[in-house]
Amino acid sequence: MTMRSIIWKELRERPTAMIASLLAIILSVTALVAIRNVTIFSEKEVAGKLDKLGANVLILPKNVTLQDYYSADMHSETIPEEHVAELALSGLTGVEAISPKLCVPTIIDGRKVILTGILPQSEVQKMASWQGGMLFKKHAGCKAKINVVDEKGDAPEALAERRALQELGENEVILGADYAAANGLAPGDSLELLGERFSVLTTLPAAGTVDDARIFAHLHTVQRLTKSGEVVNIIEVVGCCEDVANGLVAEMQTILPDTKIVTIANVVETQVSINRMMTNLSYLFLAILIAVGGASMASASFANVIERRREIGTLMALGATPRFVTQLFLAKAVLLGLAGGISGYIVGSVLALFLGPYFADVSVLPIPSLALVATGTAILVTLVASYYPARQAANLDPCLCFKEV
Amino acid sequence: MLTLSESDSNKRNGITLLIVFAITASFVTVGNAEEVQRVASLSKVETSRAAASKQNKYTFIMFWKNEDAATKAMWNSLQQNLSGKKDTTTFVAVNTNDPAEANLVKEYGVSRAPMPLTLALAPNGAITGSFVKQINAEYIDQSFVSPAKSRCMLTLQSRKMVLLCVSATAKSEMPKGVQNFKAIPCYRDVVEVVTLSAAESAEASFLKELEVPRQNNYTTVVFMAPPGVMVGKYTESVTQEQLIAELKKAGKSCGVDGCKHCK
Repeated sequence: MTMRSIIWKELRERPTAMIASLLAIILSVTALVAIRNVTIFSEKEVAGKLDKLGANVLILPKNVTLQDYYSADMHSETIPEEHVAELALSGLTGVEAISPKLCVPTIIDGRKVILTGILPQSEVQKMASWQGGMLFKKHAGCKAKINVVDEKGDAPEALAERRALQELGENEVILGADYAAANGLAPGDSLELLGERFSVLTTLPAAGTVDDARIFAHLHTVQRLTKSGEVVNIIEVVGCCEDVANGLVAEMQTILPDTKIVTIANVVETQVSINRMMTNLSYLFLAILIAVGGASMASASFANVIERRREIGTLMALGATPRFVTQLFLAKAVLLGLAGGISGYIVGSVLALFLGPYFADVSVLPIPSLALVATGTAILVTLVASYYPARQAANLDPCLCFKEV
Repeated sequence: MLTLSESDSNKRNGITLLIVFAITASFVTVGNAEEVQRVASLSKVETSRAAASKQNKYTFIMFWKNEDAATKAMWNSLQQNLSGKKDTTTFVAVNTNDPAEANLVKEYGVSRAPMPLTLALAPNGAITGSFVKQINAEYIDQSFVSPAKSRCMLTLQSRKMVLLCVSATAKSEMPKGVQNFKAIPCYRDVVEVVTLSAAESAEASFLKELEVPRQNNYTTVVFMAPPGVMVGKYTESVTQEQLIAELKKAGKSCGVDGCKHCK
């Protein structure tokens, strides 16, 4: 008899114990896979929302709500532009980019357009590097962003993707795709705007947003042409997520008490709390898998060793080594772990397809890498649970076993 | 005949010398004229800053808009703390609405900054401190940095990276990995190598800040990126591959998806 035939025979003859252990493993793996699957897709959804927003902290005038800002994409309330320098000079840890904006609706050649003033990052970044005593300090949150000269990132076209621009002259404009197409304008052309001539630095690719109909110009030019004064409508801040979650907003609020500071956490608060709950649940089910699956497997293995003492004794009397007996029990454990892991992954993935839209409002697809994690964890748990019973079986004395008979 | 020939030769040499002198003098004169023109176009504060830089002095520039209490308090504080340090510092006030100083205000981009604002400038031009609305003796002291730190700061303020090599002795060679990294075409212009000896007492505080022990018997390489991020610290055996990998890990850089020629 080979090891394989002995294991098959054993599983066939004692199906109840095998099914009980297998079920415990399958159920735990199913729950783990389903929850993890939904969590991963839900986190991707949050990341997508973050990407769309560009910044994760918005500094607004006190009376403006986030809904006002998003519904009309602009509002008439303003805050002083000097808040930008106050933030940049404060040396706050975790502030990666500061982008002020002033949106002024205007009519050019009989067409309504939104003239948007933006401040080139070069004018903000230099202030951030003036902190003599603050340089090289340790950053406990996420890795501090570096800002090296970069051809691609500094190109004007990067505005569409990064929502910030490195350089922009006071007599240059960037056109949204729709505005450029409607007026037949291309980079290098010149354009008259509120009585002054500007050269088109670049045109942005169509984004399907209100940005397509905008004209972007230097903030100070827009302030001067529209006689708005030294003000902005909003300051978008890209902050290190860990710092944003750990007090950066409170520090900003101390520096700028007359503003309203809104974080992305407020926008995706519900989804983030669901994600947090599901992550905790997945840890709980991992613990259940280890405790219930492991305990069930261990007790079944112990019972198996006790029940099969005579057979083990006979095997050893026939020449089976303790190593062979240990391998026999461990191989059975691996088989159960493998079956439990794969079945649990399949059932868990199917369950996630239904639970995702219901619980987290996200569409979910199976994640192949979870199969490896689930199977690996299940095998590890069954192996650890069976190791001690297997060693006990290997240490049985054949003579004592026969004596009992 | 011989005498005549010697005399001709002497004449020729004399004429040649005269021409060379005339050309050199004209270049110097043109250069001086340009310099004179440049200096003449400088504002009062720019001239003061340039003079301070030549004399290896720090310049404190206080930008202000209104003669309010904060402005007066800041100016008083500067006077109290810097009057006794005239051999190493100079301080000036700039009204941001003064057309004569428009270039200076534009250069530092402080037209919309909260006022009063004082900037501390090292002799090499690096801004070593910025103080909004208030300043005190402690803040002022923090603005005085070591020569190597001011060089690093100036480089970082130009959006360039710094590879600081802290050697055990003044004669140590620059590590091979640093030389190789600096030779890569796409990094050549965005990285500056700064060397200093750990024995230099003036740099003790900077080395302490960087947590580089002065008693190391090998060269320590400190990799810094703008605006003031320490990418990492390495021994002299660091390789260019290691530096590139660390830079990529530190964030978006020329080596990631920036420079086309560095892919």
